[in-house]
Amino acid sequence: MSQTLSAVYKWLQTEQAHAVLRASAVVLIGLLLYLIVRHRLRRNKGAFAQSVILRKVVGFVILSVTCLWALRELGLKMEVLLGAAGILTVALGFASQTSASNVISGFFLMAERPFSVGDLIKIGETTGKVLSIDFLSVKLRTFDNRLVRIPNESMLKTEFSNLTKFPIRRVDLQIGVAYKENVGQVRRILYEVADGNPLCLDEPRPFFFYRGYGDSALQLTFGVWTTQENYFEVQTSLYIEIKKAFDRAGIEIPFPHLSLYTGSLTDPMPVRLVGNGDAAGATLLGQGARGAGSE
Amino acid sequence: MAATVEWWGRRRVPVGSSGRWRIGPLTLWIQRLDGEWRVAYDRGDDPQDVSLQEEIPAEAGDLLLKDGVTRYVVAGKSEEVVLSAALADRPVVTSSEKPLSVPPGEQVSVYVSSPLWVRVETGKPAKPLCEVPAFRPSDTWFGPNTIDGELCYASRTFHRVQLDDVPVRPHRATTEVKIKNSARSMLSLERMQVPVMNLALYRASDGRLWTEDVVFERSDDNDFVALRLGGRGKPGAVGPGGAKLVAEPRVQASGNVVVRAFSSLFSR
Repeated sequence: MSQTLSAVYKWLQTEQAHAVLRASAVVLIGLLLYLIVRHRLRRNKGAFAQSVILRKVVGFVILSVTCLWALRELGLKMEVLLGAAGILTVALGFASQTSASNVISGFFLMAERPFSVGDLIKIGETTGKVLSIDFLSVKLRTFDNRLVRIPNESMLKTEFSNLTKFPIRRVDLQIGVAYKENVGQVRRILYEVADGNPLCLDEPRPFFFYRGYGDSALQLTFGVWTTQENYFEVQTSLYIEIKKAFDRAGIEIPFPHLSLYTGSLTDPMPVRLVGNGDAAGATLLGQGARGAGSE
Repeated sequence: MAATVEWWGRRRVPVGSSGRWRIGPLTLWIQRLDGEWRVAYDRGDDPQDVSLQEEIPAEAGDLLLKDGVTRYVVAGKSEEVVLSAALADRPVVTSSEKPLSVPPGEQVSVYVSSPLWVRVETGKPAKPLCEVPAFRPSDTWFGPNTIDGELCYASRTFHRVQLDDVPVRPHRATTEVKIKNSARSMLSLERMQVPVMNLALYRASDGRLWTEDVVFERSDDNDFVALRLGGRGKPGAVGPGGAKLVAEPRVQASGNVVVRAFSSLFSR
């Protein structure tokens, strides 16, 4: 027993033992620093999305420096290691251009912060809730419960909308009414419908816009403000309520009309009725479509 | 039932029977069955309705037989149900019928009417089952733009300068808002936000439901207004006999006097 202790004591006097102890101290300090920084970043709830990437990067840097320092204390030549790392970096750089681009794009997204985890965003044809903002990609959960991964580089290059950035949104309803209708009455009914729906905001007031003359209908836009969480419910309920209100008031929502016109000199259009019995012969109806717009 | 009668309080609904309450536009059914309570409600279209009825036992309304009913499973055998009144859980925004301004140096009172919520609780101690607005006010946005602001309820009634213009209704409470304009510029009262969730509810001897008073004091032409809560309901504060406390504030304000941004309380 005493021999073992004496051997350990002797070894502790050597330069090798000092190096191991120094390296262990470096590792301990590095780990401690890593834990403190991670804890601090986790507490930063306001910038949660930002801190996810930040935490990973800072952790990676602290642990790498700790490892290199500990290896140096153990006597490893850093010049050799750094030289090898340089060659490796060049090789990896060529091989991972896309990944590097995504990582750098991720940093730009992080700095710009156009959205956070939990926001609803629309990019191209995809609409979904942001699940995470990672090194290489942003992950979305769509309404039909699919996971969509969008590379950070694409996020940076493409136009996208953050649908939940602001607390309230406007629901724009596209409405068509027949040409014969009184637009003033239509407008009054639309405002009454919005006023009767408690989820429609009283202020800002709804917005009525006359878009113009369509092929078959007067084209109107009725914009109603609501909270972002009630957006889809308000859109659906308003379309239903407007239809009911129009039906009650006898206001027609026209479907596309098609007038057949065979020229100004055309005789009434012949129509042949074919039956099983004595109506098998040809019958001419004298009401051909003459002139456009006979809706 | 006159508007002065208290519709809130503890009632007994025996197992197998139902109770029906009509509080303004709201009709509320509560049914006690073995091991469960059932609650259903129907809100009429007329917010001005001042009906007040109570029927125990009552015929189970059609609503209790339909999908609109909510069931609450309970272990206890208590047959007691507690109805209580509460003010809105968000601020209420009112507007004036015609443009209304307070000149510099003037102090005025305006009266604001806001709807009540009916809270249903059972057992001893009372456990909450649900909360239903007697009349669901419309949501509204109060703020300088569509980005900054606060989600509120729209009162749908105008604030009045004369108390007589505010009718006594069983499902609405009245708030006296005292406005003191000590600034050198005119104070417009076109739209005003009243933080009713910070106010206690009282019943005066005449049957009117009152909230605590609110005092807005604008001392300078800067963008800040002092908001002071409290006043009514203190013994002797309302007529002979004072006022009786009906409900504590939903949210206790951080202090009696709060300094708020002008734009967060008034808008032109």
